Parts: sequence; structure tokens; C-alpha cells
Amino acid sequence: MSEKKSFKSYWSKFMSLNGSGVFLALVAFIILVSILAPRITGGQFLTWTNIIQIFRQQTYIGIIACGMTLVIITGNIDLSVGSQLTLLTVLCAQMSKTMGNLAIPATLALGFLLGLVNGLFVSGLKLNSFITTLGTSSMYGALALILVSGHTVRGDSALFDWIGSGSLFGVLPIPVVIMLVVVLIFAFVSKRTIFGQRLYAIGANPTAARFSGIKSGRDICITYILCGLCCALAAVVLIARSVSANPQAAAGKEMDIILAVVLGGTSVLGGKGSIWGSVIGFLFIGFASSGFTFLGFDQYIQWIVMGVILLVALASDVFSERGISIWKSRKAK
Amino acid sequence: MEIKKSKVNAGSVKRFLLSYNSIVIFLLLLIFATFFVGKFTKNYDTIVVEASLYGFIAIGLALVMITGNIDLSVGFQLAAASVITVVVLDSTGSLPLACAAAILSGALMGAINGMAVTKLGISPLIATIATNYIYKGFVYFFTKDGSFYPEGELRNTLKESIAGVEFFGSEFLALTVIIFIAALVILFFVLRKTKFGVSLYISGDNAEAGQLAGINISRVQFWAYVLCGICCGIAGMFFASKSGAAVYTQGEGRDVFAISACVIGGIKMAGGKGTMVNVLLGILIMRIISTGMNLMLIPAAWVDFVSGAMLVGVLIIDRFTTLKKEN
Repeated sequence: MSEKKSFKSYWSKFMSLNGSGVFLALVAFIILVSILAPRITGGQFLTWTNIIQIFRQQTYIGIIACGMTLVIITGNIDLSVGSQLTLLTVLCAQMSKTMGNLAIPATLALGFLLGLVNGLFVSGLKLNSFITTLGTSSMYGALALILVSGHTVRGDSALFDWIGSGSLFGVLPIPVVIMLVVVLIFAFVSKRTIFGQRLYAIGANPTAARFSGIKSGRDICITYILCGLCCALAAVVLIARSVSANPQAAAGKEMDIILAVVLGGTSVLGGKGSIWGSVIGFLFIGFASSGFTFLGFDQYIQWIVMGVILLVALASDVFSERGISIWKSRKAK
Repeated sequence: MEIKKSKVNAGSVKRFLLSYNSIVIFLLLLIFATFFVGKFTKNYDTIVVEASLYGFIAIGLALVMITGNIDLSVGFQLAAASVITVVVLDSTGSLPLACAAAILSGALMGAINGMAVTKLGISPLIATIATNYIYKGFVYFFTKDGSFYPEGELRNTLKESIAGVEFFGSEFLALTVIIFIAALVILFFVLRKTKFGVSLYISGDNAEAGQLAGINISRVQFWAYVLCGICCGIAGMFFASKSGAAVYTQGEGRDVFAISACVIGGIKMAGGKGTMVNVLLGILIMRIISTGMNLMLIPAAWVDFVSGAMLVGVLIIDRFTTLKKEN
């Protein structure tokens, strides 16, 4: 009897975590694809090489999703991450030709700068974050195209080779290690530091945060800078994987990144969310896009199914909250 | 400087300029382009025609933004309606049926968006990103990166029938322009004079007060999405006719154009503000910039850069003017 009860309490605790529903969906999806894939296309889905492959291809989304989570927690949004990533990959490739390995710290500095520009507009001038970052998004994207006049640039650095093909202990690829480090740092910052707690306060109720003495402008600016730094790291990882930088490769990726964050239970209204949720959202997107390919689905089915999944996941989120409130009101009666 | 010299009414002139900054930007751009861009005067008609093609998604989006919501799926709603036009024309051979199908499909897509936002209660930003994926998938199924056009003679029929019709041999009186102006006038009066129009503003301004005053806010927002979808459907029909095909790239980046036109036209993200006249100015400003820069042989990427900078610039101007009002 007691065993049953404890399972139930664990279960309800698990379900109250951010992104738990998506996690279950992810597990179900992986099982489904592993069973179906060998029958449809003859591929084995759940193999070590494939999992590593998924991670290698999608880490950049995970890295940026961390920065994006902090921005969204404060109730703002950054639509320019796709263009920032594009611009930084192009710049990084261009710089690596002359500067070699120094291109990586230089890219980080530029990422800092791009984030700072967004941050100053949003927090300093108090502009609407959605439209501002939409504007800076077309500016950054255009700059990337102008800088290389639409051509693909090859990166050239020994460090790229190491990041792209090296691995820690011969098992974990370097990009995955980078992502794990970023995730751990951001999870620590958001949950265990005063700065992180301030972000939740700003997102939950900006007015109350202001009255309790939080300098929300500075904190919001810092989240944008962190987001820019994440884009820079992601740019390095992306170049290391594909060696070359295409000025249109990362266009529209901000949607995938926002998707990962939102699937992980972070609310775009602010004040609610977690890095671990975003990691689950990222895993879901990574495994889903690879899984669809394994099932032999075309691009268009992937898009349609992703859209439907997103609607269902978010609607169920809303309904579960509503359900709880109805249940509570009934109990009160 | 000129404003300061005229002591009589400096304050009111300044107030006029600040509150109608889209008119000022529009006139400055028009004068600059007319005098400094070669061949620009010969392209007035192109600007008007293109404004009528692109404009529909902007006025549709404006309705949604006035209610305080957002629709990021306008681009692929347009492309999907364009696909529907071609599919129906191809299978039935009847143009009126194709047009009706395009508008109906637009209304349906708008209704899906509206349901997701008002009935499922998903945040409008995320809900329309999700539906955008669905519409994009639908478009890609038919066009596959390229274009999808009706067979044989039908393609010419499509090209000549809607976007190809001009009255009195003047480009200014093309059918698309006339339909667009008619829609603008109708929406102008709907927003000004009808209960529905006023409740759109209330929904954006103070939804809670509206609800308490007996307005069904979620129904108003739902119909704003449906109207937006219908506008996208008409735009899709126009684009299909203009190029004689449904093209995948018709959907890409259009949402940015529409949002820019709306914001430059004084629509606020928070909702409750903006008029159709200003949105029209926003549309014309965007078209003048891109046509002007094309004529000056400036690479297309610079057009994106300038419109992005413009978007941020308008926000900054707006910020300082509203701050002054508050003080």
C-alpha cells in the first residue's frame, strides 16, 4: 500500500516538472520509431552512432536554447538568434583565414557585441523585444549576406578540426561536451544564483520586481548578452562540423530554437521555465527530425507533424492547468 | 529647424509631425526617390500594383495586431492559398471556383489560428509558429522548393484573368489595385463605425474591461484571425495569378514585411492602436524602399538591412514621442 502511494507521489511530482509531458512523448516516440523503422526503411534507429550523430548535428540548437531560455524567462524574446548565428559563422570562418585559432575568442567577443546591441535596445530604450529583435534579425542576416556577397566561406583552423571530429575519452564528441558544459552553467545560474532568481521575478511580475529594487534593465541586458555568447559558441560548433559557413544555412533556425524552449515548458509570458526543460525540448526536436528521416518521411510531413505536435503539447499544457483549477474549485465546494 | 522658426504654431506642428510620423517618412522618401533615383517616376505604377499585392497580408495582420495578438503565419497562409488556387483551377478548370476556394481556404486557416489562440488558449506567438509549420508543410508538398503551376492553357488564363486585368489601359487601375482599395475603404469604415471595429480596439486596449462590458473578447479575436486569413487568401490568389503559379518562396519572409508595414504604420504590439490609413502608408513606405533600392542597383540584402533598421528606428521614434506625451 505504502509503495503504491510513494509511486503516486513520485509520479505527480514528475508530472509537475517542466517538460515532463514532452519527455514522455519523446520516450514513446523513440520506442515507436525503433519498432517501425526497421520495417519501413530497414534502418536501426537506436544505435550509438545514430544518437551521437543526432547530437553532433543538433548541438547548436541546444546551446542557443540555453541562452534563449533565460531571455524568455524574463518575458522577452530574441527572434534574431538565427541571424546572429549566421552572421557569426560567416565572420568566424572569415576571421579564421587570417587569425587562425584566435578567431574563436574574436567570435565570442562579436557575439557579446550583437547580444549587447539587442540588450541595449530592449532594456535601455525599453523597446518591444519582439519587433526590435525582428528588426535586428533582418539587419544581422543582411550583413552576413553582404559580407561574403552570398558565397560560402571555408573556415581554416586546426581547432575546428579538433572540435569537429575530436572526442573526449574517445566517446563524447567535443560539441556535445561543450553543450553539456553550457547546460550545466546555465542550469546553475538560473536556479542557484540570485541573478537567476531575479530573472524569474522580472518575468513573473515586472512591476513588483521594480518595486522590490531589482534593476531589471541591467539583468535583461545581461540575458541578451548571454544569448549572443551562446550564438557565438554555436557558430564555432557549426563551423567545426561543416567546415564552411553558408550565409543562409541558419536562416529561420530561431523558430526551431524557440520551439525547443517552449516545448520544454518555458512560458513566453515569462516567469516560468527551466534549462532542463529546454534540454528535453531540444532532445525532442533532435530525435524527432532524425526519426522522421528514419521512417522515410518527407520534409513536408515533418513540418506538418511538428506543427501538430506543438499545438497538442501546448494545448494539453493549458488544459492540464485549467483542469487543475477546475478540480481545485470543485474540491473547495 | 524650420519648426522652431515658425513661432505661431510650433507646438501643434511638432505634435502633428510626431503623431503622424509615417506621413512624414512617406513624403520624405517619395520626394527623395523622385528626385534622386533615376527612372523612379516611371515606376509609380509598379509600386502601386505591388502595394496592392503585398498589402493584403499587412491589412489582415493589422486587424489581428489591433486586437493585441500576432500572426506569424501570414506568409505561408498566402502561399497555401496560392497553392489552393492552382490546385482547384487545375482540377476543375473554373476560375471563379478557384478564387472562391482560395478565399475559403484563407478563412479556414485563419479560423484554425483563431481556434488555437482563443479556444486552446495557446500564446498567439507560439500558436502561429506552430500553424506556420503546418501550412509550410502543405505548401512544400505541392511546390517542393520550386513552383507548381496548372497545365497548358490554364496557366495563361490564370495570368491574364486577375492580375492581368487593367481598366482604361492604366496600370494604376489594375483589378488588384481596385480590389485592394475597396477592401481598405471597407475596413476603414468597419474599424471606425461598427461595433465590431470598436470592439477590436477594445480587445487590444483593455480586454478585461471589454469582457466586463459585455463584449465577447475571444469571439472578436477569433473573427480578427478569420478576416486576416481571408486577406491572406485574396493575396494568395493575386500572387498565384501574378506569377501564373504557386511558388514556395511566396511564403518566405512575408511575415517580416507585413509586421514592418504595420509597425511603421503605427500599429502597436500591445494592440488597441492604429488606423488603416497609416497601415497603407506603412505598406507604401516599404514598397518605395525596396523598389527604389532595386532601381539604384543596390543588392537585395541591403534592402533587408534598411528595412530592419527602419523597424528599430520607428520604434525608437515612437518611444521618445510617447514618453513626451506621458510627461
